[in-house]
Formats: sequence, structure tokens, C-alpha cells
Amino acid sequence: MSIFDMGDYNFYVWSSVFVSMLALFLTYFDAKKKHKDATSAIRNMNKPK
Amino acid sequence: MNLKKIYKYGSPPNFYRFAMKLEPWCLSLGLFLIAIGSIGGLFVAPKDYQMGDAFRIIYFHVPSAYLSMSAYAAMGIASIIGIVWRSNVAFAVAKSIAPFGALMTAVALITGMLWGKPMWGTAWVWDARLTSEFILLLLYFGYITLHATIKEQKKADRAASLLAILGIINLPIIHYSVVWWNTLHQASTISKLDSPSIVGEMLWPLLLMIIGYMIFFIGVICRGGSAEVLMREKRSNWVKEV
Repeated sequence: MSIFDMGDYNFYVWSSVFVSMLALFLTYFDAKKKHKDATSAIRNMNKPK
Repeated sequence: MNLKKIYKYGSPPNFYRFAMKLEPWCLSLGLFLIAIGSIGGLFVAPKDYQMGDAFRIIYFHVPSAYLSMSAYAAMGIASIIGIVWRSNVAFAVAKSIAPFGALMTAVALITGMLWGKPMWGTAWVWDARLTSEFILLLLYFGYITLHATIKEQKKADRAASLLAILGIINLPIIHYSVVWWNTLHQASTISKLDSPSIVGEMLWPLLLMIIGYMIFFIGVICRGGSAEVLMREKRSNWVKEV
């Protein structure tokens, strides 16, 4: 039997794992994107005209 | 405690430099602990004698539920600091916590539903714990919406912070809901650390997951808070050096 097999609860357990990991990565990449947007906005603002 | 040191990090450039140094350490340590905790919870911990493998959802449900409340407490404290000391950094940190906290609350509710369906026979009941956690999600949405709808930054900060401070009252309600009312949701498992209702083999991955989530949260807030500070300080001279 595979260690990944959760019997009758496969769907529930692996869905929980998927949702949780997705949320963690989304929050990180969202924060990273905000930081990138902020630095590029500031760079554009300070460009010599 | 040296108050001067605390005040030092209330200055935007100092906060920014400190947060950007701290972020990679928090993210790597947090992800490492989450990886070890996930492996321990999914493959090493024994099956529960009543719930079987379905109990393994605890390793994802409990850390997100803890974090949803801790993030709100952090947002409330940052809001108080922001209002009392008029700290722009504290307002920026509170604002950057809100989306993260809302997502963690949603994850706690979704994983709770995924656990409830096979165990209770229903994904949702309006019992005290589930309802108060749902109210927490609405409070996060309220904070985000209020901030987005008021155009003037200072007014938006103050109004959203007042909402965050008022909402703190919901935290003890969530925590004690299983004690004060008869709920379908089970009582606390590990909050009584001297005598947890969970065996050691099942407990260590859970503790690693909770600590890992908390450290990861600090890392994300370092990054998100720094972005918010940059946007607020975009006309300052120190920002040009970034």
C-alpha cells in the first residue's frame, strides 16, 4: 500500500494539503509582487526626464 | 527593555532595512519547519483510532486557524501603535497583515469543512466556533474594504485601525467558544500545554507546523510591510537609494 494512500479520506486530506500550500505560496508571491511593483514605481518616478 | 531600540525600528528606513534582512531567514526557516511538519504529520504520525487518516487534516487546519487569530492580534496591536504613536510603519504593517490573515482564515474554514464533511456528516453548521471564525473573516474583509474605499491615506489608516481594534473582542470569543457554548466543534487539543489531549507522536509535527506557519508569516509581513512602507515613503530621499 502506498504511503500516499489515505483510504476513504484521500480527497479530504489531499485537498486540505493543496489548499494550505496554495495559500502559503499565494501570500508570498503576492507580497513579492507588491514589493516589485513598489520598487519599479519608485524607479520610474526618479528617472531623469 | 531598551525603548530607544524599539523606536529605532519605528523609523521607515530602519524598518525597511531590518525587514529585508530578516525576510529570507524567516521564509527559509518557516518553509523548512513546514516541510518537516508536513512529512511528520502525513507519513510518520500514527492514524487516529477513531478518525483514521482524516485526522491528518489537523496539521493544516490548526496552524491556519492559529495564524488567522494571531495575525488579527498582530494587526490590532499594530493599529493601536499606529493610532497612539501616529506611526506610519505600524499602519503599513497592519495593512500588509490584512490580506494574509484573511487568506489564512479562509484556509482554516475550508480545511475545517473538508474535515467536518467526513467526520460530522456536514461541512458547515452555525455553531459558535465556526460562526465566530466566519465573523473574523468578515472583519478582515471589512478592514480591507474600508482601507480601499477611503481615498485619503491618513483617514483610511485611522478608520480601518479603529475597526481592527474593535474586532479584537472577537478573538477571546473564538478561543473560548468551545467552552462557553455547546458546539459540534471539538474542544482545544493543545492549548493546555501541560496536559495536551494528543499523544507525543502526533503532537511534534503539529507544533512544528504551527511554529513554521508563524515564522513564515513574519517573513511574508517583512516583504509585504516593506512594500507598503516604500509606497508611503516614495517621495523621501532614503527611498531613492533602495
